[in-house]
Amino acid sequence: MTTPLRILLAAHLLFFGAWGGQLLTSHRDVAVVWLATEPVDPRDLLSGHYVALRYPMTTATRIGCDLGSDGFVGGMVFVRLEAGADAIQTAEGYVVPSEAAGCSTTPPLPGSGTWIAGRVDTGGVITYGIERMFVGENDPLRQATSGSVVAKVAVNDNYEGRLLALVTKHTPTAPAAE
Amino acid sequence: MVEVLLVILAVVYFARRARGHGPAKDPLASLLSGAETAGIITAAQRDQLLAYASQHAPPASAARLGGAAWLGVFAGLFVVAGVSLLIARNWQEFGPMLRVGAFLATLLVVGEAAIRMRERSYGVSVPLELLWFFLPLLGIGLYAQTFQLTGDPMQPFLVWLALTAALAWLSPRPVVAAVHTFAMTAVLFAGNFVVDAASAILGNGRLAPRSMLVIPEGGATPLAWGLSFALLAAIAVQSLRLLPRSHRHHFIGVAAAWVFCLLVAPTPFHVAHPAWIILAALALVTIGMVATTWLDTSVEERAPGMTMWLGIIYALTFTWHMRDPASGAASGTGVAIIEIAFVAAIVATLLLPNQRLSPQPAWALGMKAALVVPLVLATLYLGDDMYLVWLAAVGMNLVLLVVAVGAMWHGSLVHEPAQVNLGVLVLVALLITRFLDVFGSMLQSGIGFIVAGLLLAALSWALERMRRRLLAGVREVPA
Repeated sequence: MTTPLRILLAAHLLFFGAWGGQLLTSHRDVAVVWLATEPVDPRDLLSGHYVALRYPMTTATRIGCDLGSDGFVGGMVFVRLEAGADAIQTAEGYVVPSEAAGCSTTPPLPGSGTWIAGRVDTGGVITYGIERMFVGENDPLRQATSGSVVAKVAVNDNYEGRLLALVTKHTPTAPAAE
Repeated sequence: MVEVLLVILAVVYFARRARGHGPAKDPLASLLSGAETAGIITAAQRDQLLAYASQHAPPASAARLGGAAWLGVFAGLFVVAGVSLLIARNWQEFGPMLRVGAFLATLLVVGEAAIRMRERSYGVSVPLELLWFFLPLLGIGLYAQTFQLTGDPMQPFLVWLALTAALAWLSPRPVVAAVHTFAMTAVLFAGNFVVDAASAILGNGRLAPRSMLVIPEGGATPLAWGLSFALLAAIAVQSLRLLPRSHRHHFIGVAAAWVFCLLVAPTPFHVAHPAWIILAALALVTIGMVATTWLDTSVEERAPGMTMWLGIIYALTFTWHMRDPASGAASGTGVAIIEIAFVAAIVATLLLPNQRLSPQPAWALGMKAALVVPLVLATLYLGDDMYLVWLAAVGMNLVLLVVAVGAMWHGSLVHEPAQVNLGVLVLVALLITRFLDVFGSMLQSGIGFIVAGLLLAALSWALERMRRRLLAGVREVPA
């Protein structure tokens, strides 16, 4: 009678082992970009200690992404990132945030630059899976808000972004006009 | 210090007392021994009955949860909450590899311990099973935190429910199955109706992707519908197969509540017209009551529907305060669903076998009328004529009055003290409410309260006398 339970336990271990292994290796030795963030207010009060982040490329219209008349809701888009013109002074020196330089609803050709994949939601909002940075209970970043930090993001060959770090800006950006 | 010593002494005393009494006596064995002593059965028959019971009756541990099991449940939940908080603290000083490794080791140890201890004491096996049940969810949270994963708010819960479904089916006790079924229900309602709405209300700049389970006004995806129906089916199957016998049909109420939420939440079936909402609530709760009565379910399974039905009619007794007819938008599909539910409620009530309601056919017909009349009265709220609305409000008062008196009367006839008590409760609640409801100024209220108090005291005295007489009659009726 314990055999099915042991099989279940093995399945659980296999699932979390495989998933953990994939997460540990999926963003090794990949391109790293810096992304400027925009203020978000209010912060989510329900989900614990994390900094909620919003990016200029969150809104499809702001990056010139044509999603068609139906809005392409639920579809995957690919946004090309290029280093911007301005450097930002941070606690770790000057960094050059990347900016959206193109958009495609089909996967880009390999070697055509750094692209990040996002999923389109209603209202032309694109989410990239890098909208939350979990921080420790005593981490000073816990008091940070989007806009006062720059996000360090790794992008792998499958165009999946992953937040690596947040760095505080010395001069916070003013709220961007929508 | 003295209090602590007293507590310890009390615990030791009761522990010794319990040990001195030995294991609790089997009530069936005591009953059969009494029957043997009284000459009703022979010693051989007693032994045969005990042997038959030991083979066919479910073990007490599987059939219901005792005090030790409940302590085990809470012990498990406390440990789960503690582990959850420890993970939430976010141990940034430990790298991803260490976190993943520690989690896998914990899962292995807890799972293996739960397997080894499953047939032993509740105090250990129930907390371990619950911890194993929740660990996959905590693991998903840990991975999300460690690797900064952002995504669909309901996906982690759906993955967790899928991973642990087998545990619910393989557990020898109903604890994990009950928690798993409840979790499926919570995920269904939260994903369909709550998470996205809460996100929109609380702002958050739409940072999180839309839930894959959401049913928005513009129309849900086939995936959302498929998952929702799959969850509803899983709730029904798991309830019927795994939950304790007296709780197996709660899924009927879950289904009725889900349809009601489809109508009142911003979905393609949205109805914002109060009269249609009243009709929907009454029709759906009537269908639920008829279904549970038809299936001859337990009191526990029928009580929520009955309470809801009484609550709706009670709330409608206040509609004599309405000054304007009900108005509001209503989608065509939503109205069509309500009309179908209305007809289904009446047809199902009329087709319900009489013996399910009462052994006396005349009373069964009366109960059917009590179920149908509020539905018919509720249609009056759809009109523009305020006299019809007030007529419906008066009608709802009369329905409650008739139901209360009928419950007391019928309860005495069929020897059901619970029905008598329910009738008394409804009648007193209705009278108190109307006394408080009709008075306005301080002078009126003051005099009203005094008069009402005197009347209620007299009524209470009369009711108690009647109730005692009825219950005494119940006891005197020979078996």
